[in-house]
Amino acid sequence: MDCTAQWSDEGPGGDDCQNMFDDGSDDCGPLCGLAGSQNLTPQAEWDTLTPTCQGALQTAVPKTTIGGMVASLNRAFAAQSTLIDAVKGTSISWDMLAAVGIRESAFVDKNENDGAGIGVGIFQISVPASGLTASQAGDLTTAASYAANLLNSDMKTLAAEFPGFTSGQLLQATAASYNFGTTNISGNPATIDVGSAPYPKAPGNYGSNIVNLMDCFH
Amino acid sequence: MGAILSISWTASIREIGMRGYFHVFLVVAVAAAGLATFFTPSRLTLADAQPVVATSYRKESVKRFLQAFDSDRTARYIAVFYDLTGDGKSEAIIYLMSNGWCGTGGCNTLILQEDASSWRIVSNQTITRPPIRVLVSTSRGWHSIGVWRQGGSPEPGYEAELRFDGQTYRTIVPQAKNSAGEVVIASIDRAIPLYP
Repeated sequence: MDCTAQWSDEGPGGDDCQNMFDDGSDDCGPLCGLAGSQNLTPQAEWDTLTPTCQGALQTAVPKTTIGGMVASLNRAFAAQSTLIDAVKGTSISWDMLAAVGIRESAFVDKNENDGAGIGVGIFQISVPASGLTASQAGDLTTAASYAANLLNSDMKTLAAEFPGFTSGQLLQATAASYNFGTTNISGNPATIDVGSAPYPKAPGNYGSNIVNLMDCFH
Repeated sequence: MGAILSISWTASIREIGMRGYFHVFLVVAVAAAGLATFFTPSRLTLADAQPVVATSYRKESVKRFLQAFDSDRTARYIAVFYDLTGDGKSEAIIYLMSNGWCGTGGCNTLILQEDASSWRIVSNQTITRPPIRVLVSTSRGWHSIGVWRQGGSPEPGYEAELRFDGQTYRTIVPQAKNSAGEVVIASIDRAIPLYP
């Protein structure tokens, strides 16, 4: 966090945040721009989050310090404008994309090698199965657009297959499908997350965790 | 020992009025079967359960079964035939890949058992990845399976053990990291299209 008054040249309505990215986003956290928010400690910043958001962060990035969880949230906030661009023309909201990025990688660009290919970047896109190159999957703009379109496609599939889902259930199911596909969704609202990560270490919670993480951005 | 058993059992049968050679034969057969079961090792080894070179008929049979299971024309799969029970008949271990079955957690692994002229699903496990191993250890006569689990969280991956419970395979925690076994699906490199 480095939100200082030196960025007041943004003029009225500016958020007083340093803009380190070419994409127009800033690197400040959820409190950025609020009076007195400068130089908050991670604990102080954590204390401003809702219980739902705090619980969701603890689930998404376990074994992480409060500072680490706040940092992952701030990285997602910093990419806000890129995420907003990525979801244009879809039914997906930018905060859903941000939540997926936190859950998948703590919003860190990293590569995950395994026998099924390589999970690349913030959204852990499978290369080459996705059709993207590692370079593309590691590029935030391209990866965010890919993830947004995949989620949008999954949402359409699930809405058609399960017209009885409420909007909240459809959101949860769409999020869960990012982790284990649409076909593993049974249509029973009570079991949407069954079989998703972190199963079998704990009951699957992927979809509900994404929905709860979205609360951090409201 | 089998003969002694059959004689005494036959005598008992006579006492209750059931007579005839057929009954003698039946009792001998039952006794022999019981002894065979008694002396069968309860713990199979991988030597008992080797990968099986499947005939083209069985490969096609599995493919047809999977096509009925998944209509996604873009689906791909890897099928390995392996005698998991040591009964001389191979089961099929399937790694199924398509948009519907896969996500950042990987794809589904199916264990199929031949059922008359088709197959039945013994287990359908979500969020699995290669390498997939057949482990030396057994449960209820079926070899355990090791699958890699990773994705859907920043946490590192691990190998989970799938253990047969009498009806299906269930995932056991902790991981099967140091269990002896044999890799049967190393990667997705050999995946083939489910549809022409």
